[in-house]
Amino acid sequence: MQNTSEAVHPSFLLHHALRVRAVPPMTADLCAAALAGDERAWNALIAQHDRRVFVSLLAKGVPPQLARELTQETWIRLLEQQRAGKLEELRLPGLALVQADFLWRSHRRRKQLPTVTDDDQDRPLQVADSAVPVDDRLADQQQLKTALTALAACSDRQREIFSAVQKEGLTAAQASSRFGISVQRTRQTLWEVRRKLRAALEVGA
Amino acid sequence: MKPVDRELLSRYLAGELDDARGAEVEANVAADPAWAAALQREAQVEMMLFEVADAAPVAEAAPVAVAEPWYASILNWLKRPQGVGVLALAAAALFVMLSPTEVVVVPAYGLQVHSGDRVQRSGEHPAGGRAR
Repeated sequence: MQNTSEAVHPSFLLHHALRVRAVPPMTADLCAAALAGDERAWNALIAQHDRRVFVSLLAKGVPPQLARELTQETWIRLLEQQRAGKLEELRLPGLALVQADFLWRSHRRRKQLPTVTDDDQDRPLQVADSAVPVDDRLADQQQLKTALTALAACSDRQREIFSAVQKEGLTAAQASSRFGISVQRTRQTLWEVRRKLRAALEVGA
Repeated sequence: MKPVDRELLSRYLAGELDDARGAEVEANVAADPAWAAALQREAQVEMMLFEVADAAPVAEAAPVAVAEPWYASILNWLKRPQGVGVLALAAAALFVMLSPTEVVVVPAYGLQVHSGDRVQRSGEHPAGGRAR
């Protein structure tokens, strides 16, 4: 550990400076830049949230190939709306998730797939959904609480790595360079956290 | 039909599989309804993990520990007083081991060779006689 009472080695300062520069800007800043038409901000946001949009479609039973196409279509639609000046606000990942859900419902209607119901068509998505029955929402909240307790029991480093990957959309390699540990160690840490959380979610279900 | 591998599905959802393994998972999902149902369940759990990450309190930005090279702990130990002592002893021992041993012939003792003296050319003493 670095002793603060001693002179700090220049290599530490250099490493720290590089580390600080490597921290991605806040999502709100990126959203503001993307809304203003900054292409790099769009790329960063897509990299950050793409997997979540894809997984949200898989969670609805969309086949992987179609889910990938719909995910791409989601980002194209959002970009088009921004360029046409139709986007007044950009809240991600919420807006992308809603857009993907809308595309999936449109696809089902076009194909007249039998799984669609009238209730489904009008129902927004996600946990914070007022249309979801109260009991279900409570169950979700209970699961979330259990999982948060499990996450709190993890070490600071484990929580930081989990958040960097799950929330900021970093890959294991990017997270490893941010935290100064090996990719293998990062993957192992992630795996441990995910295993604990999955176990907690299954218990809370 | 392959049995459903939840761990593989979880890794697929986490984006940890390479293209070939990912294609393998997708082929299984397309071919087997049990795989498709399992993927949907795992994806729902994965969405909960996203929710957990969102809801988790943001930790204060802790100073990042710099990854030290493997030899750093050895160097740190050597900087301590006992480390310096051990280093000095090791240097002294190395010096003694590597320094050439000189042949010492004391004229008063003639050609006698004692243990520790060095004898050259198959037992011939440097002064001309033979070792006993």
